Amino acid sequence: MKHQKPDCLVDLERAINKLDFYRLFKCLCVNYDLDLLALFDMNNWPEEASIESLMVVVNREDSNLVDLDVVSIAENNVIFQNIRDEILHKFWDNKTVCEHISFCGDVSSTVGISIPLHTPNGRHFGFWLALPKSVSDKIDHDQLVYDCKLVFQSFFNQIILPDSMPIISPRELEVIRWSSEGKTSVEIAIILGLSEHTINSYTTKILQKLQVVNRAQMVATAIRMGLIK
Amino acid sequence: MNSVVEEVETITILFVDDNPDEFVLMEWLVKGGADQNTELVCVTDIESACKVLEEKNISMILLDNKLHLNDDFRTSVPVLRSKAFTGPIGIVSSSIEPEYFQEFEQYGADFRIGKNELDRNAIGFIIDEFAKKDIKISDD
Repeated sequence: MKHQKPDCLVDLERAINKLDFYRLFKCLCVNYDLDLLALFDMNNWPEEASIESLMVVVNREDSNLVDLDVVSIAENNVIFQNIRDEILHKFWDNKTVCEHISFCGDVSSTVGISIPLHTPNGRHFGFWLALPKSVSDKIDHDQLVYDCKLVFQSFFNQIILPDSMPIISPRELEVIRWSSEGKTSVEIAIILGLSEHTINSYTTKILQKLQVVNRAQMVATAIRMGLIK
Repeated sequence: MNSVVEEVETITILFVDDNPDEFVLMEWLVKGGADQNTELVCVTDIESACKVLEEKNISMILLDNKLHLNDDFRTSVPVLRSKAFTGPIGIVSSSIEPEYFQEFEQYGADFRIGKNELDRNAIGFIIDEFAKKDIKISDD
């Protein structure tokens, strides 16, 4: 069966930052009437019990009850074992959800779908989707999984991958140059007409790319690499 | 259940929109969407926004795209940045379809979102992602 990109994902090619992707994931939640969509970074689990979420979209009223920034998952959690170790998505009935997804607020009438995501460079991510049983019976699970993977592919290329690639963008180079002049984030923000948040994001990315831990090391490494004179 | 304890801070949001009716809705959204103390300051034009920036410590600006018939964020964001405002600026618009929205970062904005997409969860996400000062970079 051939899948088509749904109307709600028309903005997929235009997504630049995390909020753009939040909007796309929210569209999926609304389109399929999901209660919750969470995208997890599975790379350190089960060696570490805590799993960091890269995106959480709650599509129900009691959203304040759900805090999924970091969740602690036992090694024998079958749902997260599926996400970490298997290839195919899996549907989970209410009994299993109640047993293993207690951190998601009220799941008394909820079923779920886990979607493992493995990248070509050996990194592991995964979706947890929670939805009412009545909704699950009506929707096309394969199409939903396809749509989630479609957005993740773009999220990976736009958000995750650039952070891990050692390519310094022209904007990042400007930040290094001004840092080498002793300017703070606020001062650089004023000079470049951007926000401090953006400058700090650039700096964080540069630190990751150059594999250094502070500004001084960043500038020293950039000089050694010939990025700045 | 896993709980994360976060430092309590007051997030002061400046909302600039030429339609005061939008203020009521935004106040309701911000109150319910944020999990920390928030204050919403509403003004109807850029001149008033600039005055507020001089008087108050603003954490984030939510800016209506079209405050005047012929102007959009490409003119208004640089005006706000010229006041040395280094916090996040988000463009809120009834339509973010026009192609120029794709260049929001070049004009000093941090994000764009459609008015129809704004709900309490979205506001909560925006505050978490942009307004909380949780990125700390060591100098030494």
